[in-house]
Amino acid sequence: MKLKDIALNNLRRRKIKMFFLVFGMVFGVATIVTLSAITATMQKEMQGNILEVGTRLIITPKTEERNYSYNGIAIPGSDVNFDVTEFNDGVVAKIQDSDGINVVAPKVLGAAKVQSSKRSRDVAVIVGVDFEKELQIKNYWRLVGDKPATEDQVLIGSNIGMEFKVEPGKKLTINGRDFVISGVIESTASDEDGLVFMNLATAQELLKKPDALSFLEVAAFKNLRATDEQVKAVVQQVSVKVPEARVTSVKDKVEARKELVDRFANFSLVVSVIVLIIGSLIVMTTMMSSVNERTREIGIFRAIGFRKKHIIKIILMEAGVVSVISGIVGFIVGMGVATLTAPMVVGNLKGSVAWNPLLAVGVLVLSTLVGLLASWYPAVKASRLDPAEALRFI
Amino acid sequence: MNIIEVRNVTKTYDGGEGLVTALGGVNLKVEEGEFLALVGPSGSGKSTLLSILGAINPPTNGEVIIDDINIYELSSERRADFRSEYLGFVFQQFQLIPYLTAIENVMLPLAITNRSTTEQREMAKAVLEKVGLGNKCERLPNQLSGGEQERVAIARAIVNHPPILFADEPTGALDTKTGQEIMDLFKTLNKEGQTIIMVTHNMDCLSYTGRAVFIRDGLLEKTEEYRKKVI
Repeated sequence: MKLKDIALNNLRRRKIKMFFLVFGMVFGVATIVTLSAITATMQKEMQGNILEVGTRLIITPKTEERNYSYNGIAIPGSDVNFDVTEFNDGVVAKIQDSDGINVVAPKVLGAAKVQSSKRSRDVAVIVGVDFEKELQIKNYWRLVGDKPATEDQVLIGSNIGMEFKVEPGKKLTINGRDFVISGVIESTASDEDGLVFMNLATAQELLKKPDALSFLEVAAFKNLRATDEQVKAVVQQVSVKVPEARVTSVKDKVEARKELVDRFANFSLVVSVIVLIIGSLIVMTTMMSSVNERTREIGIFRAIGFRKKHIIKIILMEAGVVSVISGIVGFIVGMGVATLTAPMVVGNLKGSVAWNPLLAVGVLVLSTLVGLLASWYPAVKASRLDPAEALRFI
Repeated sequence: MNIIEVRNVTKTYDGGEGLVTALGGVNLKVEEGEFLALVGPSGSGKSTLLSILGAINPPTNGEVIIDDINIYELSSERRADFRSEYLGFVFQQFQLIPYLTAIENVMLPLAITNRSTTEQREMAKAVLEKVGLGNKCERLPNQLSGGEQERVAIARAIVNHPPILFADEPTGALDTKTGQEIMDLFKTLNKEGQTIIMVTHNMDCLSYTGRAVFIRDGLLEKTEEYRKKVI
């Protein structure tokens, strides 16, 4: 028999007490894992968004718009647009000539009646694009099927595919004209999922907007990690060259959201620290009560020759086993909860919660350390028990 | 040859309402192979003397020499090693560990040695057979009778062959017949050369011993010899 056998046998004897201790620790570990996993997922999604967007600019025609409100409440129907304008093809060349511009992807937007053999909708948004340029900018698109090769082919968003029950190779009738679906864009968890993309000229003709462009999407710099200063310089340059345009950096919007994610990360950290402190106190209280219950037993160990270090080892082994089990179960439970709740918390989750082995190792080390440190005092106290007093010789 | 020598040992402790004298200057010599009984009424100081002899309760004054070692000059940890090597204890109420089987309880003193588990198990099995419990090795203490638990406690005390065996009221929790069986077992062990020091207030047990030392109010009152030591 070794000391570990004594520790394990004692754990088996105190099943209910140990179950509640493990339960408490699992709860704490799972909370930390859930928060960490969700935070990591949010940060990854955020990073992904920033990389996908890169230094994309959206260039729209300036539209004078007024809306009226009273005490912050918007008055329905009060949106009034003055001078609704659209670009023409000439603006593309002007922007393309600017320094730092990589790709200019013009678009025309409009509503059209869309029909498939199974469904029909009076109003769906169609987008006319230059596919070659569009696919350069949307390098994150994953297509089921191919990109359109002719004017009569279209790409559809995943929601359109589901709604109209169509797939690549099937027919879609738009404003009375038949198109073949060349490919479906896998969900990007954005508005793109509900759009129909077709050749720019065909869309202009179909929407009766010859040469008109609703807006331009521009990728500045080939290097997607351009600095904020570089992006600002390009925005300014384009604004000067095309005074009728309003230039917005898409990255700005993403970074605003990043700040929210960072705040959530800080919140998670604070909660994790509180959980750690509470967990340590639970372990310490339980181990102290266990030591108090075992006064006579520890007295016997000491009387038959166990050294202080042997007693400390037994108590710490018990704490270690409980902590390791709690760490493993807590990690699995925490990841399970994170996987279930991440779509609600993150919203529009594109990927899934990643099972990070480093997080697993970290949590295991952390729970073991907390268990051992919190049990150190009870273990030392147990080792200092006077055997004569414990066995009531005095 | 004296294996134990007690010199002017006193023990006082704080009883809440001032100092209480448990032992007031005890001198005692115990020969190797002797079966000695410490006899006295409750509160006489006999269990305190046993714990002082057992290296777990330092005296207030005086010395305890065992095998030429002044045991209370040893550090607390070295004294633990000494207990492991020299002494076996049979506690009052058996004091078995409830979550360990009979054989595991007997293996307990060996758990802190370098012996393999197999060797420990063989040694424990042999001792359990010696005390007549070879067929109940895997039982938990609560599955054993009082007499059987006492035998496990004795087996645990002698498994690592200590030169001295201490027993505190070994028949106190047993019926007369079982008590006699246990005393027979002690007598057999003593005949094999085991030095035994036993605390008791049961006069029927004295006939099994070689000598009885009577204690009253912390002082040795008288000594009675019953038979010569075996070796």
